[in-house]
Amino acid sequence: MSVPRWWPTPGAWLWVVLFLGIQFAPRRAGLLSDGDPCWHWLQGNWMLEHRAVLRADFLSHTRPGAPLVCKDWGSDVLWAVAGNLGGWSGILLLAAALIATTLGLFCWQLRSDGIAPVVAVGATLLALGACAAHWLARPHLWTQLLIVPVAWTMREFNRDRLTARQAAWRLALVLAVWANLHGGFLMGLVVIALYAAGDAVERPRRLGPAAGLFVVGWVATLLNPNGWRLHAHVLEFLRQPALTLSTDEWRAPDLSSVAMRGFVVWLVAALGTLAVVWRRLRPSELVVVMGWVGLALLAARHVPLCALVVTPVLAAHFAGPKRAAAGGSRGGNAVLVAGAVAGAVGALVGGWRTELPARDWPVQAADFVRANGERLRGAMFNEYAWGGYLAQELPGRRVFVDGRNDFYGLPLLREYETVARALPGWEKVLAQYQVGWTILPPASPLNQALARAGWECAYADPVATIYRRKP
Amino acid sequence: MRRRWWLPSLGAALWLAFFLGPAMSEWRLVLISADGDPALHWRIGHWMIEHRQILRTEQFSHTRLGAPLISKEWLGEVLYAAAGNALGWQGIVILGSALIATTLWLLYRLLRAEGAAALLATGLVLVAALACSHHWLARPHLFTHLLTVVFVWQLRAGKAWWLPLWMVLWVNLHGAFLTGFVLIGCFIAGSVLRRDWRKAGLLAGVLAACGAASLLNPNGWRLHLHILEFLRTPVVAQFANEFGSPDFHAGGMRGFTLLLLLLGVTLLWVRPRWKPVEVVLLAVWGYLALRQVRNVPIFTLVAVPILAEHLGAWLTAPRYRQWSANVERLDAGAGGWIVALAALALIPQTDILPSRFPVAAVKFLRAQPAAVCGEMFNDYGWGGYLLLALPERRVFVDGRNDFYGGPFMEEFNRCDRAQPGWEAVCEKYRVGWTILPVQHPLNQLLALRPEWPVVYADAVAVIRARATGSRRDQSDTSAVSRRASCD
Repeated sequence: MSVPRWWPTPGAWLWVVLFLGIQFAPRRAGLLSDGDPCWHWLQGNWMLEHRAVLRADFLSHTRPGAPLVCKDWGSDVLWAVAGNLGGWSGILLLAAALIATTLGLFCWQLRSDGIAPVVAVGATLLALGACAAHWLARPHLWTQLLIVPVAWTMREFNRDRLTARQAAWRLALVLAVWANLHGGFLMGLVVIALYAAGDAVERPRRLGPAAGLFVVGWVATLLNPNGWRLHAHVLEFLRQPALTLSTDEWRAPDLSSVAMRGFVVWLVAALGTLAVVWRRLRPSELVVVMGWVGLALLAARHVPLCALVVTPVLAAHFAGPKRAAAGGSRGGNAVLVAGAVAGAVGALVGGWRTELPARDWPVQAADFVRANGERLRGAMFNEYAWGGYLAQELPGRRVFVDGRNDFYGLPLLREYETVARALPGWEKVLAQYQVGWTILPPASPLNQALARAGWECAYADPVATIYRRKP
Repeated sequence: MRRRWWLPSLGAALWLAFFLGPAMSEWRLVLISADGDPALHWRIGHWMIEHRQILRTEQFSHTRLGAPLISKEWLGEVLYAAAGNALGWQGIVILGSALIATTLWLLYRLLRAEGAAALLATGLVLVAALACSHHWLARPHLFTHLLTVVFVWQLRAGKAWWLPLWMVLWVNLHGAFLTGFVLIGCFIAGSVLRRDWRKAGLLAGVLAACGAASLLNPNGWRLHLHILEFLRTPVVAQFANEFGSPDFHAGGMRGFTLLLLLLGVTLLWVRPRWKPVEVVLLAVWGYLALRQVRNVPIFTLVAVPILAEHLGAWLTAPRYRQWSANVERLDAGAGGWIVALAALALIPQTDILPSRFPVAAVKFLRAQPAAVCGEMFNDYGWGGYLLLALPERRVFVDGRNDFYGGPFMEEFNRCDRAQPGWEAVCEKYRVGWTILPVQHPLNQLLALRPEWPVVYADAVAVIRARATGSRRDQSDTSAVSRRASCD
């Protein structure tokens, strides 16, 4: 059965299904399930208002005015623009577009390699399953998107389909943009480094040009408002396992968890494919596959990146004899994508809304604080995950901590742990920061300790409890 | 070179190294102190020796006293108890070290029997030791490591008819005997992929015979049902770290990482032609190892013979042959087992680590039994130690999460994490006193309640006892006065 010439490509169909699927899925608010989108929006707003890059903290009372390296400034601004235009629905729209573009581009590159449509779509769906574990409306979605062209460029260079000069221009462009959008730009340099290592194994003569690409990529990433300080900041963060491992996404993936089922399926499929095709794999490709699988097993946040880099390498061999890529219609693609965007924007204008679910966030407690501000004197001690949300909902108040653990640093996070777990010394920390009230989940051990220590329960609902010092 | 009867062969030297290494170094403390289970198994085995019967109802906890129980490793526990009763903790260390050493020695013999040079076999056994070492604890699972090598050897050598006999032993020694079925299943799958129907049929027969043999245990088919039920209940398994995925940031995973790197390098440079059964074994056990860290040693013992075969065929350089020949000369001894026996005398006295378990707190309780009354609430990791060290008292919980079950573990969790409702759990089980680590969340909470005064405290443990009746409002910590109110 022949396909009409105007028919859109599989990648375009995939884009539309994902974009609309995320936008209208009943569980779409899951993309907003941590407090980080809130503070990204807030930081972006500050930069829009002041027309300057943020360089000092304005959200917390524990580190007020402390110097800050805003490593995601570009995407914070985009987040703020989307949020200001459409509220949480606008941010969700942007996130859905990024996810859909990542996988649409991924599918398109597979088809460009001449891989059969069924195999290309199947491989994309496998990668989607692995990526879904880290679908949150945060700037790291830029990293998932931009790693696709970087890996593609390096694969083309590795297969001698691109000259070093052509690859250098492409990489420089993508990495310069990436360094201004998300701190994960170092993963782009890791892609280049692994291909260079593979070249060192397979054909040492190519090591020079590959190393040159790495240097070009590195220089391109210096084009950001913080220059080399951005690299130093990110590397300093990565050098502190106690800090990185305090967040789930930096820990090794728990393959028995529900969230990792997609990755397990991908892993089984990848190992199965490897068993079949591995003698056809070139040594440099093996280095890339092993390197990325190793990184994914080291930190859950690398799982999507591993799937996006490794799947095309394996799929190219799995697909067997290559066929010329089916043309598809650019016009058809444009009409389809434009229609989907128009539909989503139309729904937004027509009143389709996404809000943070009140069952997960202290929505009513925040209302209480706004209405009874005079009763809650002194500084706030808040749940870590709620920091961004509270900073946004209570603009007149500053938080104790939020999701920016790279900014707060280990000493403050240890103080936070001491208080949150009611460990010996918690009262001293609260006194040090002049905390007058707390807002925590009802099950927090600190709530019970505060009740015994003579604090007064000012507000309680199934999501949050507020305690205040007795006047 | 002439073989000398008194000189240890390379295999015997490896056995000695792996026996004396854990038994004489600080590792011996890890063997018995990493968790409370060595104490738990000793206590249960001791009960069975004392009563000359299999334990079938709960005796050691007050929360599930008298509940029916499946002893899934009764023979392993009896052996550990016999060693413990004879030589104390030193006996447990000796048995644990001997099992570790014998497993690795057997692996070495397997590699040598399959034609690996002494140098390669020694190197790979060292890698295997590093990869398995994170799970070197003096518990019955060491029997599973040993019997895995036996099964792998027999299956690779095509002498699978002996396996049902080994299965009879395995099913009584440790609950992970299902590992043997998975191994046979992998070899059947490999034969099917090669279209070797005759071998697949033979192995299917062996599998059926092993299935029948595995019924020869005191609990019959109920044992299988119990284990499958446990594996189907993730909420229970979550209490044991070893059922989680490996954390590659942890130091204990360096050996596994090294093994994976070695596999990767073999793929990269040797480019071996895998047999179907090898692909199946590596894929199945690789997946299981990534799912549950307790399967990492099994993966290691399965993968190392495969690696040895392909690396051995690839390492043909003259320099390597020369090195290998030099090592072969070292393997000139005939036995040296007398030396091994003599080494037993070198094992130092060992006791459980007082900085890890509430040793001093237990001494206090034994000296002043009236200091507490009512039932105990204890730390999960201390349960095994407490039921061994305080046999006159019953624990709230211990490491047998398969026995305690999901609903009870949820109750324990509520209390352990000081979540709302913890008081109701304490009331339900008539908890009169707690013994917990100093920084335990419940301790922090009880510290704010005058009716839970401290009875004893040191750097490791805090004991709190509930004052009852008219004494509830008093903060008097006198053990004698509290005893009066209990009475």
